[in-house]
Amino acid sequence: MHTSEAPRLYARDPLLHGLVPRLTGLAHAQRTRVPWEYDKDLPLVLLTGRHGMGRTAVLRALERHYAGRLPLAFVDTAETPQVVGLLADLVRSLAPDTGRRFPLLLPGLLAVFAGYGEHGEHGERTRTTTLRLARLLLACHLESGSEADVAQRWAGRLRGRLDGGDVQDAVPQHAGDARHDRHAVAHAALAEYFERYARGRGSAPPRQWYQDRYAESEGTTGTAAEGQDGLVRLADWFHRGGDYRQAAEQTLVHAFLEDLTAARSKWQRLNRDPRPLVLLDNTHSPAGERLVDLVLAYRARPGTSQHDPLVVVATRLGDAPADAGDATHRALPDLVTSTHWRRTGHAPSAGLLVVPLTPLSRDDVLLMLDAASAPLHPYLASALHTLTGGHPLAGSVLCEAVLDHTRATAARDSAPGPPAGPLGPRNLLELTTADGVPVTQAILERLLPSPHQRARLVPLSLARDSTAAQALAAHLRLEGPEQLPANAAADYLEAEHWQHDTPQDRPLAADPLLHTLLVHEARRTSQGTDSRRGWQEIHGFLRRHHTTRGEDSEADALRHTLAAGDAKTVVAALSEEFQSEQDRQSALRWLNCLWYAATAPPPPAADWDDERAEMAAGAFDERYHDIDEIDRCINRLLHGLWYLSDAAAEPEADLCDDIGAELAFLSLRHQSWRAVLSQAARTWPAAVRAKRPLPLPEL
Amino acid sequence: MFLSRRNGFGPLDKAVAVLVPLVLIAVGVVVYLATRPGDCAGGLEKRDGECVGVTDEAFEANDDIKALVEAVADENARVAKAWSAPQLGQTPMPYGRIALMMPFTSDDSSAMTADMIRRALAGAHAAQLRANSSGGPHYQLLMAPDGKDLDEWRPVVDDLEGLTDDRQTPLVGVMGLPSSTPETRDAMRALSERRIATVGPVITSADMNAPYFFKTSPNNDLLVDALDQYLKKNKGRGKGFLVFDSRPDDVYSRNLHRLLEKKFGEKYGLRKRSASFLGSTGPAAGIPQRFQSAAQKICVTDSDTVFFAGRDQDLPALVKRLSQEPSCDRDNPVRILKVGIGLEPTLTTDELTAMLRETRTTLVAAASVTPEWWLAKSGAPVGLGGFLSVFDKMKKPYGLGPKPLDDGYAIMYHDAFMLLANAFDRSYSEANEGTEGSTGTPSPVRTPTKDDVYNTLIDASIVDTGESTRCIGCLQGAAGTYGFEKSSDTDQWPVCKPVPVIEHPAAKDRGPQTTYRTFAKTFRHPCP
Repeated sequence: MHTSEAPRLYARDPLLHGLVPRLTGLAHAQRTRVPWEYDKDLPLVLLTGRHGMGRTAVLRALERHYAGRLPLAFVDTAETPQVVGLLADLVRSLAPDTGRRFPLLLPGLLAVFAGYGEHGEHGERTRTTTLRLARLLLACHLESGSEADVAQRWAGRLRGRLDGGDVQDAVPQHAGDARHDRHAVAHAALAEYFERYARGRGSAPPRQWYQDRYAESEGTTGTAAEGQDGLVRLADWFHRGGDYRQAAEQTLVHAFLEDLTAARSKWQRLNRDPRPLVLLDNTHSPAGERLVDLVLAYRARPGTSQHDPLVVVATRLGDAPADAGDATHRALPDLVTSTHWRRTGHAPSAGLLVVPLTPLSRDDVLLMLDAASAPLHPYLASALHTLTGGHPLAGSVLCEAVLDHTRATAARDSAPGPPAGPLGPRNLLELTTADGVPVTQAILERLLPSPHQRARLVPLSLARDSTAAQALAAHLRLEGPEQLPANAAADYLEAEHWQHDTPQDRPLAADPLLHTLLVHEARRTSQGTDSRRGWQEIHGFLRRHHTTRGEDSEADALRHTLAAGDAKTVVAALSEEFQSEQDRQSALRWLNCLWYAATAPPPPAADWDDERAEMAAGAFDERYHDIDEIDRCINRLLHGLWYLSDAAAEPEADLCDDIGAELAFLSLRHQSWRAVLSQAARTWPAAVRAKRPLPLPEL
Repeated sequence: MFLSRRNGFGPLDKAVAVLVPLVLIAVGVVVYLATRPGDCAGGLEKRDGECVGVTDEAFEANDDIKALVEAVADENARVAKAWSAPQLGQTPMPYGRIALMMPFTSDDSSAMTADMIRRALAGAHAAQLRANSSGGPHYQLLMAPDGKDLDEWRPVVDDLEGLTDDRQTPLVGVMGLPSSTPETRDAMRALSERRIATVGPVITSADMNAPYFFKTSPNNDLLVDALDQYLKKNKGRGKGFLVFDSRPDDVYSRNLHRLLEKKFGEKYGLRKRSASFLGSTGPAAGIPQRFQSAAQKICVTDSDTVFFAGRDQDLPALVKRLSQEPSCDRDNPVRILKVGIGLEPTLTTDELTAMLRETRTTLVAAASVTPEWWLAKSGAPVGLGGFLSVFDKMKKPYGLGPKPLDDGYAIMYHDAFMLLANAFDRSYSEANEGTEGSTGTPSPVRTPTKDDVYNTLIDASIVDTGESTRCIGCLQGAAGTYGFEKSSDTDQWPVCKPVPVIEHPAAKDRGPQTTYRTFAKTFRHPCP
């Protein structure tokens, strides 16, 4: 049974069973150690992919399998705005399973966090900071009890120290000076920490470590007060912001990694104890990107003799960062045996191993559908795969919907009542999820997180190119803060890493899946024929738009005409051209027109009966007894191509053969197009069958 | 590091998993080796907690015989060195090996007491020293402990058999075999089957017979004959009583019991005048030495001639019991007649002697040796002097205690060694008669084998010349001059062995007695 608790991950085995076990030294699902691929210097693994490619799913699977077996931290970097927050989260997750409990990092974080507090206007912030400190102390087993208790105790002690004035002597008083208030608090917090928690272990080494890092500034700053040690300077720098803050963050990341290195005993190294694993989700976020950069920079220091044992698997939306020129790129299949990664050069990005997540194969889809309780349509897996292009999220949502549907059908069949119709490939997008949400909506919500942009993109996706989209936006009176809604939508798609740029002559959503989903969503949400936003109305507008744009837009006009359900007009136009034009060039244009018009999205089922297959087979020829033979032939050809142009349509052999037969028939009826049409008659059926773009005969 | 083992085992974990049991096993082995009972020294092997086997080296022994064992080992080493690496200017001296097979350990119920062992070993060593100080081949005295209960004789016999293959330093024979127990009989037969000449110095059971088993002591039959001869001269009041050991597994006591009944049963009506007790020698079978009923019966029947069919260790208890018995009439003297090798020193302690005098009881023992020989110097055998000259020197250094000769063990063991040594000497000189004369080299051309030794031993040595009885190659032992006959009548029991009868406490006015000689009746003329 497919349970939602442990969703199965498809086509990610090279990562889960190959690369990560070789990095951590622990097998994915077995209690066995795996030889390390890298003895010392480790690459930072960066998983890239668009929305829904399963980046987070990979991390969740790693977390599920490694939790409790090695020191593990899973952090969504998009949720925390600052690197220090990420570090605190990492410490909280790693500390319980790590031998030494971050003796360097902890006072650093303490000093930085302490600076947040003790200002009247930041009361809420103080409370969160204190709570955060309490969590750290608890994770490092320095305190016990509930978070609130520890936080209260800490705050009380701190206040006692501040009021008691034992730090007053150390810090010169400048009343009302926020910076010196911060100093006082940092002093008090550090004194509290070192006296209460680090007395036995000795406070000298951490203090000395920070002192060494800020030794130069110590000497040069005239204002450096007596007793102001490196830790306080660290906090000071941090709160100054800008470059100072970046330097402070760098120091803290170094402290974090050096703590981890020191926590690993020789025994653990020789015993090949699994390395700590940190999973960083969404590192395209500012804090995540910064943390990854700092870790990479730490590892790229020249002359590094000691290497930290931390295994980092990070995810990033889209592609690798632009400045990661020295990063090693590996495809998933390359990870099965060895990555052959080796640091080349001193650029920080040399420590990066970029693994783009690839789409699923048809076999994976077949496996996903394996749990179906009833026999499925034999072409369903193929249709699903063609429709989604192997996109993991869309694939899994659709498969879940299919399985739900089969379950529901089985339940209905067992109950008295009329049996529901079989689930065909064409009905895939009309399914609903278990919650009753239409699948296209469910998927789009995940792929395009912004509802505003999504609502804007749905109608605009019907436009052929940016100009048409712009015109449509104006027609639909789409509003927003931006000047040009269509451009804003395109920018959004780029920001969400769906595309690098938006060509002017292409639809807004370049991704086929996204385009298909948006178009279907537009069809689904079409509000009847009368509405301004109705399917017919939009396509009517677009047809008019293209008609006014000139001769080259004839095919687009025909396409929108067909999308609006008006096949008769299209047939008449094609027939007229067929019978009037003679030269070879116009033959090609006619074929292009025919093919392009046939890619029109079918109208909503509410105001249109889909009889394309029957029409193509000639079942309704008697309706057209008033037109001539060639028109009827073009009518059948157009409906056949239109029917088969659906991504989810099954290329039925009869229909494909009919395409060839109709074209052959037409080739015999024209005075000069015979060569072109008969060539198309030979090549198109095979292309349609394989769902390839239809080849235009060469001149 | 302290995560649960859900993360598998690393190389060091596996190494520890392998090494820890190995170390534990190694520690266990070391501890076992360190704490297990000490290994047997001198090439002996451990059997049922006792060191048994055959050795010419010193081994772990009780303190009271340690010095003796070391002395024997030193002598053995000297003998071996004189053959293999003689001192400059000396010719290599060939040597034979005589095994002393007997228990070297003891406890309360063992076949030999610690004193017996010490004296037996001292006697054998004295004989070794004597033999090695005279001309002819030298001898190693191999010590062959066979367990305090004589039950570990099998490995010893196997080891001894292995030694007979040695052509240069052959095993001459085996001596020892103290008690007449079933184990001794089995050992004796096993040795005889392997055609190894064996001498039992203190065997007295008449049924301890095997073709290769020689005895230097008279058997109980002969001893009882000697008692008979004594009783004929000292008749007393003629009221007899028999006290016998009821242990079924004690061959000696049963044999003696049978012989006494046969000899005196009818005459003294012993069938109805007898009492039994459980001897202290042997495995636990009840409370030993319960003499109360015997003492009562003796006194009630007013017996004056008490025959004792048991071992000497049990006799003091009977005497004590008799002295405490209130129903006894102290007016009439009582004789307790016993047989044995000699008089156990425990029977002649001052306390017991006083007790005997008080109750007017006399111990009358037919024995192989009598203290008179060395105390009064009267009627002492010719060979005793030579033995005493060596033995007297050993008394002090080896702590042999008071009256070391009384029980006869030292003398009898000495004689047993001498018997084998003499036989080897004679075989050796006969075998090398020709070569010695012609070449003058002392290196032996032929070394006699155990079979040669046996043939020499069994050779008829007492001959009737028609006018007198002469002894050819008789043993001039410390316990008399005697030999062996090939005839089946004597069964390798000594012929013409003197059997003195001892009275204790000695009567002051005791006249000279005629000493009984074994098998003397078969000769027309008295023994030589």
